[in-house]
Amino acid sequence: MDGLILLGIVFVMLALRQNVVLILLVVTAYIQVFWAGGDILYVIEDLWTSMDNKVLLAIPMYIIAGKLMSRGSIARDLIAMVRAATDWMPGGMGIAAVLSCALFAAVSGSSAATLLAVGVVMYPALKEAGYTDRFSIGAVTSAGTLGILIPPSIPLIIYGIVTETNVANLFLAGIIPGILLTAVFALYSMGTNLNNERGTFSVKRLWDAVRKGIFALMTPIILLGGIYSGYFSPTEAAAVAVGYAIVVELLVYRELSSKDFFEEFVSTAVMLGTLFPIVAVALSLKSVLAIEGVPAAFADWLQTVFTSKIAFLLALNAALLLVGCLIDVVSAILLLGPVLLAAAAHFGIDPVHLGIIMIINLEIGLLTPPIGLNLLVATGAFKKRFSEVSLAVVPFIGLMLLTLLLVTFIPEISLFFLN
Amino acid sequence: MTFLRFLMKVEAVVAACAYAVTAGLLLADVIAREFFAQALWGAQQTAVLCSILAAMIGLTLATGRGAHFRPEFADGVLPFPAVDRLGDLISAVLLAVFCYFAIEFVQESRSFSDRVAVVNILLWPVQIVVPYALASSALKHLVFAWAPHTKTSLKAA
Repeated sequence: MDGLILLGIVFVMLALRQNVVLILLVVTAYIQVFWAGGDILYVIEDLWTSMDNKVLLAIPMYIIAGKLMSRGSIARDLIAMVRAATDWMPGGMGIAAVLSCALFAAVSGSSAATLLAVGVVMYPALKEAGYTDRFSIGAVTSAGTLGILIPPSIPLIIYGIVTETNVANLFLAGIIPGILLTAVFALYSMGTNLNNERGTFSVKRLWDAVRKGIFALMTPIILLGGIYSGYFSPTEAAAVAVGYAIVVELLVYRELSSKDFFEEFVSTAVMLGTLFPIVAVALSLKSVLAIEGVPAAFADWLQTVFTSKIAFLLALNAALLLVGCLIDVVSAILLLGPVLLAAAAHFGIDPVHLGIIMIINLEIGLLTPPIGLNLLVATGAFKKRFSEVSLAVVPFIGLMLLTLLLVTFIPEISLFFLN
Repeated sequence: MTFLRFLMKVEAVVAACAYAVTAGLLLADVIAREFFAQALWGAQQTAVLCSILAAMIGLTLATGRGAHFRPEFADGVLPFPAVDRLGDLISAVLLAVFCYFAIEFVQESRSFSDRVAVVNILLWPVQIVVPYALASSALKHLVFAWAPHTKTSLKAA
């Protein structure tokens, strides 16, 4: 009965156009008061306790660093560097689009930013070089999703916080699946564009491009190198990334004014003002549900339904793909992360491995209607119909599903560096 | 309207400064540890507090800019014209209720003299940002309910 009342409250609030923060606050307050016999005051206390967390600091820092690095000519320099290295290959321009997205993802940490920054340069370039419209749109839209898998990834940090899994380990686990997916996309580009015109290779051109793009390229090296050599934690690495982005911008590119810096900090505050309360309330909700034994009960129920690990993993992927079609990445992680963690533990699945499976599923969700974020961004950015973009990404979704199966059933792909 | 614009400018400056201080403290802490073999005392804890400050101010800034996530699939359920205003009014009331409990939370912290770990300062002056952010958001929703045109002009500001 309580569940029905709760669903009713959510539906009425949605009909009354309430935002997610308020809906979550009311739902948590209801559960706290009517299920757990607590007080609304506990919701506020939990909100504070959830935000008083050093790991959360990494999120604004990576967002600020990504925003600073995404502005100006960094994307252009990275693309020039990758093009100089791949233009001579069959399907070289397509490979350049994919690799540029992968590199830019490692700098910006955002799928939408990657798609926009690389897409606006590479989409016209691909078409000019004779690549089909469908392939060009599909390549930049799909490769743009690499931003949430390749570290530093905000969704991986949120998964780490909500499931109490080591963020540095999650970053490590994202590297090989990220490279694998990039390689699969690049091979597809090569295989489907064998007859397109190729460029010529020039060492001088490559050297000049590397010299220009080296500052952007150094970001992921400094970040990941710093974390895994033990110099700094993921949170500190995020602050170092901000410092590095500011130094590079002030000394090398010199394109941002003090007003631009201010605007980037304010837009980060607005972005985090929408995200942090959701994360905090969801963490509060997670605590209440854990005390009430909901994740454990769900895990027990799953064990009665699925008798083998393989069946569970297949069902997990199917469910996550469906969820990815319907809700955004962060909400999906916050809602399902803790519940699935308990269920996965019953089947002996490593929490880090589960995190990577979740992220790849939700990454596919960025490309599936009705609310695939990258589809929506590409529709607006390239002035295409939603259906055109949705069809263009179909072959890439197939490749991602293949990679997902590999990552799901060969845990070593994710856990190689951890073992 | 002018007051809300001014308020949002002040909030934007506070949020930007808070994130700048957060980044500065974390960076200084890393530099101090790597070059002087000693962590910067209280840097991480202070950075966490600055980050909470920025996030809570961000919450009310996001309200002003209409940036909060809001699922729109049920928008057609109540098709009467004033539903937006009614929604804003309800948001204002709900936020005011949570603000009341946030004030209680701060008062409790004050009466117990809760202190910040490591830096040992009183916690309640920092925690005031929670009721403030909720009250400021409630005020904005109330203004939107009263004069809906302010929503679009504030978003564009």
